[in-house]
Amino acid sequence: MTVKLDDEAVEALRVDVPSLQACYQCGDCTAVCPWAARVPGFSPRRVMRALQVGSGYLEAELWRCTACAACTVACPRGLNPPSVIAAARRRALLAQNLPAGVQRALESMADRGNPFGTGASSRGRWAEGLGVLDHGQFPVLLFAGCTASFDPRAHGALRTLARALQVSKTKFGLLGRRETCCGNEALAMGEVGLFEELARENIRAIEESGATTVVAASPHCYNALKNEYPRLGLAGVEVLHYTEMLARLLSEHKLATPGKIARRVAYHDPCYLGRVNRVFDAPRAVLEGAGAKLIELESNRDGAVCCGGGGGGAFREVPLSERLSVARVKEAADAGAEVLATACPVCVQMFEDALAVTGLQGTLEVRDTSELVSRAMGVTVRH
Amino acid sequence: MCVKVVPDPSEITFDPQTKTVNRRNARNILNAADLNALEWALKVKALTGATVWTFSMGPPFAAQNLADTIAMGADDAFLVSDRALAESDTLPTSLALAKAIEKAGGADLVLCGDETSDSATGQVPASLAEHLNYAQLTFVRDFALEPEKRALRATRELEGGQAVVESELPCVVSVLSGSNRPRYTLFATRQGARRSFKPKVWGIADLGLARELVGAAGSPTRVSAVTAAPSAKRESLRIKGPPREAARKLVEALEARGAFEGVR
Repeated sequence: MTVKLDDEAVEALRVDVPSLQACYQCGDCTAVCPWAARVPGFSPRRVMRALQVGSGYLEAELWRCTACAACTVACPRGLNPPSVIAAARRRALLAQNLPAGVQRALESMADRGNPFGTGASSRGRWAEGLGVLDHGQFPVLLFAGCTASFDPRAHGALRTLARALQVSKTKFGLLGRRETCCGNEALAMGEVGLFEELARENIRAIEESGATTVVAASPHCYNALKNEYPRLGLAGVEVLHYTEMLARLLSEHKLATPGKIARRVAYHDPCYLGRVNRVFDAPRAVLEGAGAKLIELESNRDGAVCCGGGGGGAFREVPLSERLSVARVKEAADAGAEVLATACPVCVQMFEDALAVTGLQGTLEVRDTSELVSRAMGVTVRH
Repeated sequence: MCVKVVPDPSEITFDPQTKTVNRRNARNILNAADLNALEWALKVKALTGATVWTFSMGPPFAAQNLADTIAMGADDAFLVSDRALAESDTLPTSLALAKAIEKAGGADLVLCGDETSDSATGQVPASLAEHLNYAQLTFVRDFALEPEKRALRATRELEGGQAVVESELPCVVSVLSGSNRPRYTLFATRQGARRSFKPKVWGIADLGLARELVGAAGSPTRVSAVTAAPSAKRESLRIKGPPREAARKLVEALEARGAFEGVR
């Protein structure tokens, strides 16, 4: 469906994203966009143009972007097209032009504090039996995030991460039921008000916990906590991704990995960890320290291809031929990897799906970095 | 149109010891089918310029859920709230709602969800029509107004089929859960309505209802026992392989456990 913005919407967009007019239509964004390479006719440059002048754009184009920031890195004008698209999505929400899956996710975030329609009270269940503090005060907070908390596939990675922190004698705790969705994807989907409400709830809970370090299990939460929460009042808190925390503990000899992974591991850079927040080396150092034989994929670091799960992508149904995750697991298998490692529960979810549909199960294994490291540490957790 | 505030079904548990439903964790949300009814009402509003008023019976906290209906596009909302209404079954509930609708001046069309997620009787719409002396069409999947005839044409879902029926207005219509996609409301719009909107609140005296007609005294239903329905044993099974093969294995596994018994 072609959507045309009225004058009022174009004006509102100019207020929301003043830098929009700086786009001079060079097309570098489209050249690097993983969706443009796969979906004929999809072009971030054209979306930018349509939003600049208020001409028609395809509704599907607006919701296809997974906020991977490949375009942001490429833009010679220093613009951030995903934030322009988020502002346009806000207009689309008002006009009821949104995919059903996106609507379900946003409504569930508002009513239940997670995008999956699951009751909020089951959030802390992944940690049962581990003896981790989930109330009172502690110096280090492990921020689990929705995907890891509610997807049983991710519980293993989260439990092994908690065990690694216990082994390192880190005094840490969880927010338990007080944790709510970080809101990172709500923001990317244009729901600014919802994002701010969720952020304020989390900030209040973080302040009550007294934590001075927050370790995020997911790069999505990491991004929100590190880059968006400070303007809403989060202060005096160091925000780390869990791979940064593990790298620190290993370098301080508080963790040891005597068991070696000894397998060919291709590392996939999650968008919000690598491109957006420039954390490329910590996960690689952790994996190499644990004895992995690292393989660099052709598209890595700034050029890493998105798994397709960000920016609300995980909540939409995408045709098989367009799924970025499928291309990515094939790339890893072709490169001779035995394991495709990442450091994000959303990537794990997308790649597990891709393994199933490509029949690569048995050839390639998908692992969160914490799972590999804990194995090398000799830490096993029942789950 | 009528809405009910219910505990979030994803948060309700049953305590087998005390045989009570535990709603402690549950947030109060609008019953899902009522949101479908509201979407139908807003569609009628867009087509005909009608005014949409929302009615609900419940505790004072239901006011904020009524504010949500204003955020979605309703024009005004009325809350029937009175301690004397506690323990009312569907008879006094529908009576109180009917009195409220009459007090507000009546309606050409009263829309309701087909049933609520917390009691699932489906009786209120029919009983409401009886009290109001309006026509009634229940379990409606689709309908269209015929304003020049002051009538309505609806598709009702029946067991094993559908019936297309016509009714004169005024009419009470109960719509099926999932019969449309309720519109999205921006969070900020919802919060704004929750802050600024206060529904009119009427007690039984305002509605001219005698105490013995409502609450437990006015309710013919008696709950003699509550038992938990045995839930199926949970089992975890990991199926590997390409989708086609995995799907076949899944079907076989379900078949072996009798999941398809009685299914054509």
